[in-house]
Amino acid sequence: MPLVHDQEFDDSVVPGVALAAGNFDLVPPNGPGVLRLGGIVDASNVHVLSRIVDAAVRQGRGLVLDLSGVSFIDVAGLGVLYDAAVRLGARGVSVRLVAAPAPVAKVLEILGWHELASLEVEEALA
Amino acid sequence: MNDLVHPALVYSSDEDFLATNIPFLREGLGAGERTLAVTSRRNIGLLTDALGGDAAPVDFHEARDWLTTPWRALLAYRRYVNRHAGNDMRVRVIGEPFAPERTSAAAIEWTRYESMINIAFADLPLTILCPYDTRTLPAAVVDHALRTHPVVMDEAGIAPSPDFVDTRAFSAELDRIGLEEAPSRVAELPLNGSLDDVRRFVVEEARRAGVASDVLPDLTLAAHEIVTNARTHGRGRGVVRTWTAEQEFVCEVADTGPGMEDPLVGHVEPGEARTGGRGLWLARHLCDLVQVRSGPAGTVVRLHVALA
Repeated sequence: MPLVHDQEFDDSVVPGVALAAGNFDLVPPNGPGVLRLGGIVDASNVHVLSRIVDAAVRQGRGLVLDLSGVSFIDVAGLGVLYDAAVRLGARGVSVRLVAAPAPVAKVLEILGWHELASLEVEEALA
Repeated sequence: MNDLVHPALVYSSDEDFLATNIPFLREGLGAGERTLAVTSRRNIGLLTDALGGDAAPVDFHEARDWLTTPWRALLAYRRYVNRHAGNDMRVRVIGEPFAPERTSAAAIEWTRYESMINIAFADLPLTILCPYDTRTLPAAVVDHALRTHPVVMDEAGIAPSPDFVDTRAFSAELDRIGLEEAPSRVAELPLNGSLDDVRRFVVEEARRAGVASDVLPDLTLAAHEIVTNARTHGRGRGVVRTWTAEQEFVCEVADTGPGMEDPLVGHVEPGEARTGGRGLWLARHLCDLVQVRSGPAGTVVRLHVALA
């Protein structure tokens, strides 16, 4: 799957890693600032997600990620989103995860990461 | 203030149970402490009758709902304390174990849990009294209580438990009980492929064995995290094996790495730093039972989930 990047993100970062993205895709279908993360996020590609999220954090913008298409994300992948929320939270903005699949929401709850004020988790409707 | 008090009470009658637990609860209520009693439905009835109108501020939960797995119980207690402690105010808990029919593997992990409380909650402003009913519990469970609790309590007060064993030593002792023999027929996958291959293997074997579809994502993530650990620390060599036994599906990850530095890793909630132990800790919450044996020859982790 090709990786399509949000034009508002740093072009020098995102297109350069598109080929290395492997098995997840990130597309902006729902208007500006909403990224849709889909597919699989694991050790093989977590660095790609990390660089994309870093670009958003450097710009100090809140991040909205639609997780409805995520079929698998591991703790390292979720950790990237959590770290971003910690860093953005310090600047008064947040990471919003929308349409999180139930297993992903459950893992965030077990880890206690859902209690971080700057990490908003909206579970997908069953 | 932030020091754990973890006494056992061994009792053999309703009168004995009330003679220690009622003053224990009243003392907490008098001090304005938040109080929680996790025990059987029957004992909840005894406590509420004895407390009368004073029972209202006490939170009651049935043990069978609260104590689903050792690690979920640890997390539930910790979250309860974090929510309700504060301003130099301690939390007071009655946590009564119960022993339904369990596999021997589960019984061992519940015994370890009793001792693990000493370390997992060492920094909490918590007093957790664990009553053991000699009428309903196996004798071995009652014997272990005196080894896993630093102090014992009865109506006369609190005193050191002469049989107490340090948690690390006790846990190591339990680890010397070997894992059950795997059946002769197992499905097997070497760990030299991709993580994607591992996840697909585990899902397919679990589905074939009859694991409920809503459990598959949890099991897959647990196996993935353990395999990630094995590949990171296991010198690259290892194997995943799966089988079914006693109404459960077992997924074993074995590596030939140097073993875990800290045998308590993944029992205690990891801190803020996203470092070692988080994957194992998470696996313990996602599965019905997790067994770990680790030494210089390698590490074996077994994930158990119930069949549908």
